[in-house]
Amino acid sequence: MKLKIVNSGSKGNAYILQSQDEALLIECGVRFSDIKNAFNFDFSKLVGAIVTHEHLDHAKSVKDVMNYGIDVHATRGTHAALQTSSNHRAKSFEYHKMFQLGKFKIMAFDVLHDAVEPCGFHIYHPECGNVLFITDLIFCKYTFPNLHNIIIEANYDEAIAKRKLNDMEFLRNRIIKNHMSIDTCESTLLANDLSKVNNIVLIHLSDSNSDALAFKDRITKATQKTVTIADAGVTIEFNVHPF
Amino acid sequence: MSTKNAVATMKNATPSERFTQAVIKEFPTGLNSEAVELTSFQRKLIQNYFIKVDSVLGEAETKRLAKTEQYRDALPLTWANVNMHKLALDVVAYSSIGLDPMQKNHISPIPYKNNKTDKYDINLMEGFNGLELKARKYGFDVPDQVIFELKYSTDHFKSLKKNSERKVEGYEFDIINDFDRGELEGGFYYQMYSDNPEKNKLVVMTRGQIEKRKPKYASPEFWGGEKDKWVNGKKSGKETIEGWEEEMFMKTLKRHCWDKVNIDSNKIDDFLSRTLENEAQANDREIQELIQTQANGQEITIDADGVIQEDETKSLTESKDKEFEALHNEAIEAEKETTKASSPGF
Repeated sequence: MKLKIVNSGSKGNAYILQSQDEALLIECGVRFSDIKNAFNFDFSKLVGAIVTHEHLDHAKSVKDVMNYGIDVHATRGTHAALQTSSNHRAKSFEYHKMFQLGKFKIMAFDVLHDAVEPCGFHIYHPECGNVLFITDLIFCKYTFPNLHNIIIEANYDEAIAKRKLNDMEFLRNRIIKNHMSIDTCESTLLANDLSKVNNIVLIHLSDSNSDALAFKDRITKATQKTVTIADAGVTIEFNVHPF
Repeated sequence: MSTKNAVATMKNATPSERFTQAVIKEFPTGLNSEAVELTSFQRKLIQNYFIKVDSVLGEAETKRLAKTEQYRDALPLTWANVNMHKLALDVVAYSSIGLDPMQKNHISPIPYKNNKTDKYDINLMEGFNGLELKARKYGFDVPDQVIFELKYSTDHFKSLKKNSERKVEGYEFDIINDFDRGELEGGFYYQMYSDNPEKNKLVVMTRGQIEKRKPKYASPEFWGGEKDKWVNGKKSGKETIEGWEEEMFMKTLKRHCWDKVNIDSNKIDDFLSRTLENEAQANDREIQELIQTQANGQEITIDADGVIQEDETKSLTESKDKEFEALHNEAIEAEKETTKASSPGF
């Protein structure tokens, strides 16, 4: 299994979990042409798309994806906010109920964000094992045992945000009320059993309030795991076993 | 608050409060249209806009009434005749970047009558200090220091342009006679970049170039020139006013300099387009409490067959939350009953 980063951050998010036989699109927050390019215009293996919430940096191309004949799975609230509920390609799921796309077994859970019905995902596939995907949240209420790979938001550093947004109080407040700081990212990771984890991918870094190298360094030291910053175009081996 | 109460409150609200409410309505909200909370600084700034516009309207109305009926516009300069929608939108934009009308030369409201709408549009004109503040806060590639000078006919000035041998642009400037500098010929400004002097830039503006920027209806009291002479309410020829030409030239140079700085809209965008919450301290505490009490508290196990098991042991906080929720629901039900009993039945 490979994880392909189409893009990550406030300008757009899209990630692809791709095995030999099938692929899963996570988020549609980039131009549809970028998604098509990432798939080399071959959607034959794509089993569907899952979307965490309706904000444009996560759902910009949802309608185009549906028009291309691809099912988009999101909560009812997210589809309602996107005005896609009536589309026959709009599929809804409920929190804490498993659904299956190809061999991907997916369970969504609730997170706290300024969206209608936002969620995070626990994804299981025989090749990549248990994957945790969380973005656009302040913290995660839940922990998950037996994780093999983790894709987690590390949006901002409190000290950088304080320095840079000193005179933009409401922007700073919006960030801390809706996104995960590097401190919370670290404590979230350490609250989970990391013994089987192969990869930790840090996503949705703020353009101005983060420091990619320092974040990577910090999480590597804290977890002793392979940590990757989600830069556009990066592809990562994403398997149950490290080798 | 019930709708009735809200209407009653708005009726009793001061014009300043109504103005603040009108402005808040125009603040962008998130996709879920949640209400916006302003920081105390933003509230103060919006109130300053109200105070300034109110005083400008008052002064303009006094001037309007001082004119004889023949020359007077029929529409009074009152809040009722102001295009509030436009003003609120402009206040949102300018207050978001921190321009304060109560500060000297930040931003000035100027009422103009819009004959199409038969209302007064309040144009908010950025002053040179406001332009500088905006450029310094949100500008891209802002010079560290700028020197502004006026050039008189006896002064020695020579620009030293960049060429293959001279890497840094510069100039020679000497005042030959401080007390009789001669005719005002123009001015210049020199933008300096401490870390990268090769980017230093000299901009020279001649009298002609500065006068081209003089407003069409510039007041002779400021720029000098001729104006109508009024005697007993009647025009009687023209009079010459000396004005404050030097200050006007200097202001034009400053405006030209700061207006030319490219604004990095990314820096403003988030600030403007998203909105906004409480004071930072309260927010930080609230978030920290949430994280401490709710984060990572419940384990979800998914076995190989896809069976989801959630940790049954609920945290203390969660059970407390349930208790609060139950109490809250009880309170709502009780209120409903009371409302039913006291409502007139339609």
